[in-house]
Amino acid sequence: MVELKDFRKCPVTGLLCHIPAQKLITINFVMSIISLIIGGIAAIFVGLSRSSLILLRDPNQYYIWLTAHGINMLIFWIIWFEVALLYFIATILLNAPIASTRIGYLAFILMFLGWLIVEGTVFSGNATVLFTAYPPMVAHPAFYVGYILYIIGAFFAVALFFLTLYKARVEKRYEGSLPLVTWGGAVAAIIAVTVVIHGLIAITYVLLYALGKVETVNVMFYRWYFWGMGHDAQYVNVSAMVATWYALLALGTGFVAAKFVNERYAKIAFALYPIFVIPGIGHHILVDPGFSVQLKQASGSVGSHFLSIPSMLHALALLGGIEATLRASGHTGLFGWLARIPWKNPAIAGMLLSMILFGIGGIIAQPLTTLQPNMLFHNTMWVPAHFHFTVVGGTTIAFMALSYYVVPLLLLRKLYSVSMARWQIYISFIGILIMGLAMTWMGWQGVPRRTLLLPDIVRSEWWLPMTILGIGSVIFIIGGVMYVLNILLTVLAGKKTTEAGELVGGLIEQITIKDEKAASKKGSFVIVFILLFIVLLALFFGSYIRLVGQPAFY
Amino acid sequence: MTLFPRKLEEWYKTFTKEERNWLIIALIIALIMSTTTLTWHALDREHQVPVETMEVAPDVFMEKAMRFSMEYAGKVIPEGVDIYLAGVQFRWIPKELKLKKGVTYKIWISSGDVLHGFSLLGYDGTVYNVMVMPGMAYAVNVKFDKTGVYEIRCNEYCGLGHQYMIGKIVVVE
Repeated sequence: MVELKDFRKCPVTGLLCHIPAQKLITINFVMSIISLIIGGIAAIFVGLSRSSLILLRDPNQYYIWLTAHGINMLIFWIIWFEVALLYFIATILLNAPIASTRIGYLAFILMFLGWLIVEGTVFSGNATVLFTAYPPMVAHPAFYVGYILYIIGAFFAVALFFLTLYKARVEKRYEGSLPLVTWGGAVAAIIAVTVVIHGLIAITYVLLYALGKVETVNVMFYRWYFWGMGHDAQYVNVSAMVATWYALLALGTGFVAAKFVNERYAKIAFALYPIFVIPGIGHHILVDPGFSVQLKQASGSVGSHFLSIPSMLHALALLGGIEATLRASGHTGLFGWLARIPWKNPAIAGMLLSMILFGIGGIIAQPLTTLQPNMLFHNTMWVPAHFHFTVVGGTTIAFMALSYYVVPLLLLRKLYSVSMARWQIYISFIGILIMGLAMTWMGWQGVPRRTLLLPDIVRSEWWLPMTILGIGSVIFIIGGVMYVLNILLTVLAGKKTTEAGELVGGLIEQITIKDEKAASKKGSFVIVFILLFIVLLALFFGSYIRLVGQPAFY
Repeated sequence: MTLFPRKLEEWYKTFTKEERNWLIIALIIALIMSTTTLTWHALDREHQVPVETMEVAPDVFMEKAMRFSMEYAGKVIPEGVDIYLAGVQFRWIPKELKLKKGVTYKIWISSGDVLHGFSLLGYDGTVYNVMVMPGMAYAVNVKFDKTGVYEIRCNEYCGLGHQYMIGKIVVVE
């Protein structure tokens, strides 16, 4: 029997919402937005300094902002959002209470302290070592202490998530199997455990070195464990993002499209991520001396190629889900349904545009993770192109779209502007597409990443993509400002209501199902086949052809 | 429904024809890429990740590079001589290498202080990147078939002067 103390019933979904859990979700979400704002301000400086404008010409300033940008975006914004998401899917979706509010606040306080210390050391110029903090270059020891506190805090949050899931199960808060979204989140949390272990090893090691407790530092050891954290953390993002896509598909169509998703297929695909994620760490050390070619091939190339399988499966499951829905509602033709997709719906547009960008990021990652072609792209702008497509285009846009749905329901305030939300998704998409393609172009030219290209060292053929990069980043920043404004205005000035129709007004697309038997996924199959079999392999073999045309190097 | 708990019989469905075929094709894509990288050694010996390495302390390597740099300053490096190239904050030692066209050279690359990156950047689209590790030297065999100028740029952030770490390889007849 579910006790109703500390619970409220959601007027839209009918789910029971545990109020202490909701408070934890809110504070973690607020911190993620604050980090997004800091990282976004840093993005303006970084983007415009890498553009032909070269905004910051003082290397000290530039590398401080670059460090702040990387850490705030890749660590603080994403992880805090994911903690909020984990609490959400383990409590509210399961009608369950959070297992322990104490652990929840302990985790938050540790993360908050770590965050404060890291921001302090970075902005005071004591930790200009970039996100990766490769030794033997060292930052102020406090920087690593802050990093470690944040990781430990995140570990408590993940532990609390599992504890909450376990309690919900034994207390029989829900019937049947875990919802697909919770399943995906649980996969993310499992990967997060490996992130924490690798991260603690790497950062503690470099802290000991910074304190002088370790005489000489083994850079290869650090790089292996750092990327055990850094790379696996991206698969926490990927699983959370894919889970978000399934949530968006359901939310945007008022749960109609969810019926046409093959949950078993999706759950199997999710379960493949943790199996392949550790074997994939090696793609970061493909051109490092000191690792054997066998390890590089097995762990770097083969592991990473297999790691792309689950994402490919999700592509069909999601696109096919929406296609099947539209076919069941009466649309026909191999691609006719594409025009019938509710492109104006923030959830559906957010999901599909995020999938397109993530797909481009995944495709350009394949030559990057392959032993021989990687020599062409390693540490060039190809790398930031890849992760801006996946993390910014994919994860960030998906999380933004999701928050348009979850924030109003949690706060019981109407979203400030639905049309601003709709425009934001498209503006962000176009911005990141332009910026990412410019970066890809620069990567093809061999422009080194993480390098302030001052006017006297820019090659003439680099100016054009640098200009395009600047334009794209400005457009993306406009989208980011629109998102933050919309959320802030919702929190501060959104109309208070418990009226279901008002809370989700304009956010849900009505689709009437006429004939469930007409549901088919053949159009989606053709699309994923063209993109992932033909385009992906063309780029893959194209990079080999380029390699063969170059001077001998072995 | 993806957001709500469901009974097993509600969600445990067989795969459609498209889903099953796509599962097989995704596996084939991963296998094609994996087999290509694994068999490439047999197909092309001249474009591979370097394998030869040597453990060497950063200061020892620095000294080797300095000595090499003084001995061959301004001269074309003869065939059969091992080249030592050190990356240090914020320059390459030696700053310039003069190589002969059509000759295979062995270049030992390592760092004298922190982590650096070696980017070989031609003006004809040539690009190669490897890491420059303190404590470990990488032996890279190169052979240029054309005369010309190639830049060596640092591709791993190594400090505030990182962007100015630019060296040169000149290939002559």
